[in-house]
Amino acid sequence: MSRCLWCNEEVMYTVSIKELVTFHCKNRPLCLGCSRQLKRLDSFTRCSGCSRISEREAHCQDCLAWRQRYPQLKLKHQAVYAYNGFAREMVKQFKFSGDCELAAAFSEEIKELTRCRRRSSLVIPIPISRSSIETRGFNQTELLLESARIEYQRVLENAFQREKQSKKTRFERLESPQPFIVRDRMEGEIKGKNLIIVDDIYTTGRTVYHAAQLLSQYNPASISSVSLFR
Amino acid sequence: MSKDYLLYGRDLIFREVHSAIQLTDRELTSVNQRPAISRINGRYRCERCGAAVRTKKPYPCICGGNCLYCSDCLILGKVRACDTLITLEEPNLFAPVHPASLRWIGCLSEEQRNASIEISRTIHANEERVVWAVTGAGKTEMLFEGVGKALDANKRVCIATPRVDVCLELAPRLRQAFPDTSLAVLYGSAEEKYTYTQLVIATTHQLLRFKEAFDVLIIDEIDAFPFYLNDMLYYAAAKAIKQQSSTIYLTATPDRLLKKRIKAKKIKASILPARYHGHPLPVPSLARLSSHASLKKIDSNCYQHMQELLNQKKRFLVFIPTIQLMEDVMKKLVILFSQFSFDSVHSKDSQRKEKVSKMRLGQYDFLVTTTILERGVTLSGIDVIVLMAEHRVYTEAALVQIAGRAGRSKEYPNGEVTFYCTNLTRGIKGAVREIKEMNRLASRKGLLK
Ligand SMILES: [Zn+2]
Ligand SMILES: [Zn+2]
Ligand SMILES: [Zn+2]
Ligand SMILES: [Zn+2]
Repeated sequence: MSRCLWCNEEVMYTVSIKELVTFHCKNRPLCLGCSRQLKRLDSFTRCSGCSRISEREAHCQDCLAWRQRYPQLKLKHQAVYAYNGFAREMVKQFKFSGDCELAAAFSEEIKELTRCRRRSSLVIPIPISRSSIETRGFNQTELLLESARIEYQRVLENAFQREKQSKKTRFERLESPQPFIVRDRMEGEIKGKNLIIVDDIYTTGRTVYHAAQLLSQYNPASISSVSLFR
Repeated sequence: MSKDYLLYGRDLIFREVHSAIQLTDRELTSVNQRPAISRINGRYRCERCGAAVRTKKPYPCICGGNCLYCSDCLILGKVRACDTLITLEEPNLFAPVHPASLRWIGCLSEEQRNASIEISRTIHANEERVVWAVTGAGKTEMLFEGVGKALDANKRVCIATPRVDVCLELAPRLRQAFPDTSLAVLYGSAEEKYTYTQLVIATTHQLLRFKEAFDVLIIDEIDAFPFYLNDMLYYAAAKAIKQQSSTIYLTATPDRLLKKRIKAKKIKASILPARYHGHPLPVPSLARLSSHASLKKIDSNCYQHMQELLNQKKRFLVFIPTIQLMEDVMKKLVILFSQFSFDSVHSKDSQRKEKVSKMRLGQYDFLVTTTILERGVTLSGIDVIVLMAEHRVYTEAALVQIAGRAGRSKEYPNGEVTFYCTNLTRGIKGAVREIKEMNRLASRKGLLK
């Protein structure tokens, strides 16, 4: 019997028929009560540009603004869960308290996000700032990918010491200059590849658009972006 | 204040201390340092909380390498394998209070006075004692004399409890009783609140930040600790006290192990079966529901019961086992009792304190709650209803505590307690037996009015 990674209660599930037939039992890192508190976005109508819960599937105001600014990018950002109160608590424990083991709670979701139907794909995690490295010691997105056993490349790095994103106002974030550069000898890797930019949370879209805009200059075949939460 | 004061009797992560107050090389040589995660016989153990390290593999770390960390005491800041813990020996540098620390003037019942004397003696002799007192026996007042004498003898005293609510309730009463003694209240994860004081009120988690600091440690509501964290509590307590020291355990509902130790006279005990006002504990009435646990069935019986209480202008608490169920029930209550004033509260509720104080001030007719109000919180003149008392969160101890919320005040000593359940669990039967047993004991001792 395994224990829930979040609440430490025993994980009890009824086995599905499919699992009985295939003898392939899914590993369930969270108990039923906890996994119910995470709300899957695909059960809602969403903006097709950023996965935000919306009345219509048409692009939301923010996405329209991004499209105007970066007409060539046309990102269709995919995310699995709504960034609700429960998700916030989990992210707080994972990133800020530094409970790295929680990464294993989302292996299935990360696999689902990075499953690429096309060949020659390249998974690129968003890097974290030097100050985050100093206080946290790990890149949460890389940990998520590692625990899902997804191969990735450190293509991007931070161009300069940044202040923490979370302390900036929304306006400051939207106006911030390009924070990333492509690491030495990585330019060649990008050309002709189907890039998947991975971040843990999509908030304003600023981070992902910076990364996509920079990467688009190196002639990739395509760029898509995904995050666990939106 | 010199930096040393922040380290006397403390057990802190060096990295955290150093980033807050830079220690000079000279200062560094005088502090005691040890690895935060030790390796004994191939097993890793966290030295701060005593837990076996559960992390399955090392993770990228701020030191640049890969390190294990302790996931059991993360709430107090991450302990990594590359960390060291630092401490300075407790020197007991306190300003004496003249003529005596204790300023409380009040009356103890004869039973309370006897227990108070026993506690004083135990503290003086650096021994251990359990004080097993029913809910509403007036435990805090019984501590005053012993604590006062210890403070006057320049001892450092800590009162610890698993629950933040209990801490917050204790603090003003102790501040009033010992107005000239330095006092710190430690809870949550905020470290900056710490100052060096002779009297410390802390959550048991905060005890992990001390090492050989206290001459007297009093642990209130020792049974309130979630069972699986028990080892951590005992480790914390053992680490926080000096070798020569006294520990007093207070409880209304000792677990089986502790009861056994008391019976076998392995630990000294003071047993108080009666409340300070001399009325017996309310014995829960059991309202059995025939069908399998369904809220619909509870409808007819329980909601009618609530209506009657409201008609009689009686105020009450409704206990519900889980947050999920509470939300379901609340939807119904909002429709049924729209003309009354009430609310719900649970452990993750940010307005928890406000809601409890509203209930205390009589601004609600009733309050719906999960088990968080099971103890510590004293409301006068209330009845108690427990829904789905067969649920596994309701252990014997929890039910005794919940029943103990009723009939606390002298003015309204006969509160009514009702357990709604579909079947009788060990917890329910045990709780009723325990309450009756204490009433019998009290009556035999002639303590009841
Ligand atoms: Zn869980
Ligand atoms: Zn959008
Ligand atoms: Zn620990
Ligand atoms: Zn390290």
